Amino acid sequence: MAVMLSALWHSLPSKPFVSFGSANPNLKVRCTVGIRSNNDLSHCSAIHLQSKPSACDRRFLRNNCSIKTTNASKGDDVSTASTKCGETAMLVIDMQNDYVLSESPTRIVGANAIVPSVIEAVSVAREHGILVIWVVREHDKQGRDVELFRRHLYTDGVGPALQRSKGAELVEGLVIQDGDYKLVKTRFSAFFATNLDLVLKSCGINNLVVVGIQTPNCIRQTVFDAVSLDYKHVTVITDATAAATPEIHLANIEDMKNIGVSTRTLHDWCTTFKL
Amino acid sequence: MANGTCKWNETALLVIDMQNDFVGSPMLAASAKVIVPTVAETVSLARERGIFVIWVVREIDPLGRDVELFRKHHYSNGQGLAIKGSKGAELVEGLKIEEKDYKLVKTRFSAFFNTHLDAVLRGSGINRLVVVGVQTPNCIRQTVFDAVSLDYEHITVIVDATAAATPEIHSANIRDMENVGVATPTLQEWTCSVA
Repeated sequence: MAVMLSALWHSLPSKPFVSFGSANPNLKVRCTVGIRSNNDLSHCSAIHLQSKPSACDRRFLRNNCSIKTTNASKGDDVSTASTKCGETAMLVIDMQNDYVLSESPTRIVGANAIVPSVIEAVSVAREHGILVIWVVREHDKQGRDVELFRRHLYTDGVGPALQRSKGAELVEGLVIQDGDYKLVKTRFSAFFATNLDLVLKSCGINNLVVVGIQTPNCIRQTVFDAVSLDYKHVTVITDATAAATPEIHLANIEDMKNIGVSTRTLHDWCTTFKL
Repeated sequence: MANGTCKWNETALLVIDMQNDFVGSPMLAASAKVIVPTVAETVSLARERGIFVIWVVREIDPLGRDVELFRKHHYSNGQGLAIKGSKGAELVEGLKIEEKDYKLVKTRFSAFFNTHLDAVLRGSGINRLVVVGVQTPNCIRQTVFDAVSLDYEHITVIVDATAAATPEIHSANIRDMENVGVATPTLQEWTCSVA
């Protein structure tokens, strides 16, 4: 396949680079048989990119091309989507200082230990063109947008994950990049009273991978809502999620497994990309 | 037991999925059948107290078009649990809807998900909920967590009037619900309570 593609490459230079329907106007391709007027790449057997594609670009190409994908850099041929990365999003939930750092009174005990795994999961997701969505809480100083049973934590202008506070920032090592999406929620589930479902559907996302904290509350509620909303395939990465104790974590993982959710370690999940 | 601080007129009892096909299903039967008398007693006490009784049920399309994706494969050839109009969808013996009660049909785990339950409750001035039925990790828990998210002021799950496939699953879920501020008395304890 590589040899055939490089042979095609040498035959391509006579065709011009053209823009097509990607959101990135700088992403230009030339295709073995030209692009039809409706920007349809699905018939192309080889594509040459003029510049290095971002994760969004790779996702767009995977959703619109018919050949297998590889990691593309400038001048590489791109193959596409028989993987479903273009239809998958990773939800990174509540990985914020106030819920993770050991000195924080509202930390989840198991959270600090999973930070490296979450960093790695995000990196792998980006590598494979999976949309990364940062789900966070950013609460009102008076606690007017927090659950009733937690309002007592919000007095005198202090409380966990206040808007614009250091405590609401993502922990060190986790950085929102261009092309990622940030979603603010006010309850356990990332779907509860948010536009998450619409965002995912408009991006053609059918599958979700969930990491972050904490397993019995925000992770589980998001996952159960995803199942209720008929997302085709929902995965929880078991060593990139955490609860106050291992027992609580495992009991919740088991319950999620019982409703058809895939529960995999990070290592196992990464092996799916090697198939 | 009633006194001036009781808020029974602001309280609703949600009786969830106590239907033949669920209570009698191989997975749940051992634990679910046992709670039927306790559920019946809770309903009876709730009526005495003037609590609004809401029967939450599934009545599933014979083709499974309104059931979760992971369960759709059960609904081929007209088979499948709790199909609308079937005996399996009826309430188990011993439980009966009375005139002042309300019946709510849901299609997912939570009684609030894609239903008008919240509007019915608010419209009746309800801000306190008592929950019984099956099964603890799914429909009970999802309803309860949604109720917490919707800021219901006081939520109670009666631990011996709810059930899961195993006692371990039941207890683990009860504990998680306690951790988000839900009250988890036995029926005996609730009988003596004012909340």
